[in-house]
Amino acid sequence: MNRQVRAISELDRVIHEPARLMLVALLFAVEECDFLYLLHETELNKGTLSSHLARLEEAGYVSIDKTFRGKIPRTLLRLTPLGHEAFAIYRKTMGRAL
Amino acid sequence: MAQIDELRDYLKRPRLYANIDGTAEMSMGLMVLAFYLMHCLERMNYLDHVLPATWPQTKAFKGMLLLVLLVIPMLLAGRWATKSIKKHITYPRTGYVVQRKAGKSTVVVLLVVALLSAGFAALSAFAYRRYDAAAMSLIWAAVMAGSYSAFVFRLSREHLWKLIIAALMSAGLLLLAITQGGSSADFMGPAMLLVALSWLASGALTLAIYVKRTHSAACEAE
Repeated sequence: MNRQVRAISELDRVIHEPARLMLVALLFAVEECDFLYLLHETELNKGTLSSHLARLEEAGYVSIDKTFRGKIPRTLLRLTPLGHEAFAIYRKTMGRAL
Repeated sequence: MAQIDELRDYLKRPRLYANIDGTAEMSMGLMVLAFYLMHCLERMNYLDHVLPATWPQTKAFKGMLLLVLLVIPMLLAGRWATKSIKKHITYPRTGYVVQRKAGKSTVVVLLVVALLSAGFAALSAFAYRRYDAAAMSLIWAAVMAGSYSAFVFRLSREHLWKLIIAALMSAGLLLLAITQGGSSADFMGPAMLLVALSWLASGALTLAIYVKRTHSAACEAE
């Protein structure tokens, strides 16, 4: 198996899915953000966004905190250290694959 | 390769988001306006009339006083206004974001900016000695117009109308450098006012467009 093909097989499947890759990239570039920001930037619908975030949380890449701003609910999201590491590895592997 | 480009685009987005409401431009405009007012008060020798006789009367002390009493409060007011706009307009419409703290790349950028500023100061001093104040004014005009143009190119490319502001600002500064450039003091006042108003107008228009295009989400139903 050549190097590029091996690199593709090593890509993290949780991150490699296009919508989740978009979410992880956005979260990687910020300290924290809320659900509305991701909704606005990704243009995904609420259900799809929620399910992708749940998948990332399950993998331990994203932490989700439900809080309130006055009476309005706010969901704060941030990439965990594991998520940061996984994304850094993903970028490196992707660079090798291309 | 397209995927890598897309990834780079997503990594850049939070930085662009910081000025989605024009607050960065308005802050810049307010800062230049503060320095313009300081320049005006210095030229009018305003502090000579109000400063008690027992206080030091040196130029450096008066400059420091204006900085503390005028420039810093204006900068703080700008910071407060930015936070208010973000809190009451931006976050309810397009979401809340805390930008990442300065990393290595930010330090490198700041170092490059510091080096460029030092280079620019040396260049303008050289132009003043070698030629005259008019040459120095032209360099200042180029830097002021260049800063706004660079900002538009890097962070605000989707607003093409900003190129018109950049062109108007450049033309105005060039005109001022030609007509008032003989004396750097005569040039700096109107030039700073023009630059401040351009940044403020650009920021205010960005905010108006942003408000028009977006609507407040009453609550996020997930």
